[in-house]
Amino acid sequence: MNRRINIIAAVALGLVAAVACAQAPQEDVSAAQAELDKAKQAQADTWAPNEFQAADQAMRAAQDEIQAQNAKWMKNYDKAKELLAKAKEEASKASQAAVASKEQAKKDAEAAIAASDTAIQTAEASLKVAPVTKDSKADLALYKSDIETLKGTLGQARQAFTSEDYKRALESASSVKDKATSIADKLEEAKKKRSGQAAKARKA
Amino acid sequence: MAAACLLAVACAQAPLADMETARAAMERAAAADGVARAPELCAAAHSALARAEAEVHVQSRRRFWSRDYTEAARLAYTARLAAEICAFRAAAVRARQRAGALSTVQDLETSIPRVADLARHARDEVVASDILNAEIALGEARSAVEKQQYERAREASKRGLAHLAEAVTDINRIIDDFNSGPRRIVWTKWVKATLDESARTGEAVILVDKLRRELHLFRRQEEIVSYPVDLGVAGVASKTHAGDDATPEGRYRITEIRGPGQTHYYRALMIDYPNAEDRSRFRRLKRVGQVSSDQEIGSLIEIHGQGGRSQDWTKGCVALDNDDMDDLVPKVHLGTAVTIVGTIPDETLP
Repeated sequence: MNRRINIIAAVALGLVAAVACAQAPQEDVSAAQAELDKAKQAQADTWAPNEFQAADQAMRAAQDEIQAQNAKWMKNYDKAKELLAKAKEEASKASQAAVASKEQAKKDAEAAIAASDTAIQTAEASLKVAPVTKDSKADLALYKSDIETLKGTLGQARQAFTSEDYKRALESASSVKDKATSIADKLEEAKKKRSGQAAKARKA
Repeated sequence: MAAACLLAVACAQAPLADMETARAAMERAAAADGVARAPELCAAAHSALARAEAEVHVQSRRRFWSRDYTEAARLAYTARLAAEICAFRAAAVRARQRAGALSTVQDLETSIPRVADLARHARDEVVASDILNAEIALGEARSAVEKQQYERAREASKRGLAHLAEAVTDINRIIDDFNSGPRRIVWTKWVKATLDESARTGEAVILVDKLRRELHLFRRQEEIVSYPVDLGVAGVASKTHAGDDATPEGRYRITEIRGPGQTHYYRALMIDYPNAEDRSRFRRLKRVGQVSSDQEIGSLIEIHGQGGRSQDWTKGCVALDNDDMDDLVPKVHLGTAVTIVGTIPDETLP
């Protein structure tokens, strides 16, 4: 009887010791932290803020949980491990989303700058061949000065692109393109009007 | 015993409904850019959801008789509440930002034409560039509104308004300089003499205010009518020689009245530019080298139609809208005084 009691006590003591001496999941912490650092490097806080916040909050919750368990006599890190796995998974998603989102923004901005450049060149070409008359002289002078301003703004859009502010670069370049296209359209319209008048005069 | 069994079964169910609601709310919050618009609330919601999911996972891996979802249910309920608050707050902030952005964009939209109209009076490249930059900023703001990036839209609109403020400051400076310039004494003398003549003879006289782009018809010191006008491309600049596209300043007379078919510009009132005073000034400018010796003084300055373009476009003539020319021509005759000044000093008017 005494022997049985001793065995039970020994097993119980062993179990208690195993639970009480459970180690914090340091490897899981490091793995999750590494994934989170990778997401930060990919600027996920800017380009995939929702995914990054989910990862960051899971990491914080995991750390809180580890601290709470560390303070207990009977430790259980299962929940902390779950949270760390979640943090790692979300951080990985955030990295991928950030890279994709940034790449797309870069492509869009690049395309907008190229389109804007073309629109300015078209406007300049139209301006060069525009007929100078008493009626058109003022407009032409204004367009020339406008095109110079547009070139300046496009330069700023390029600077924004270089500093990876793709959203600003896109918006700025698109607006410049609209203005340049509008100038080219007006010049084209004036040219057509002028050729119409010339044809009418020849008929008369 | 039965109650205990029911409780056990109830507690063995994962709080899937609450979890699903919480996830849906987080998706709504993400669509409303919750992380930027309600960062703390959304962080709390993400945290609560992560804890609830972890607890559910931990319980679900246990053997069915030892599962207890009580804590998971509590956490899921907390996550659901936090997520819904985050989504609601993000949507509310988005709505507020949208209203603010639209209001600033509208401010810019309505201010640009006003400043552009004012800029006509100053005619300055820096001012024109500021106005164009404001228009570009407006394009950026509109594009940001389309993408629901209201803070960016607001920022672009404010940038546009700042460009307009610079333009207005420059316009005011230019107008102040013009108003207080040395020519003001001469303009005052001419306007007074012209109005005195009308008072004496009872005849109508024309006063053209270059700065305000207005033609006024006076009779016996009383204004009969006024019309908006377009000037030479050089705007308010003084005329010095042929081809400078400036509208001359001086005291003139109508020398010829041309009707439709007799002018390219609908109707025209020819004036006697250059008069003796213009010739004398032109000689002086040549003498001091302000005008090169091969320059001509110019001629054929008229008040004519086809104006009303809200832009200075002529080679130095004063252009009115055709309807205004129809109204003006019967009110004048050969010899009617036409005085063109930089601006009519307020104190000279009756």
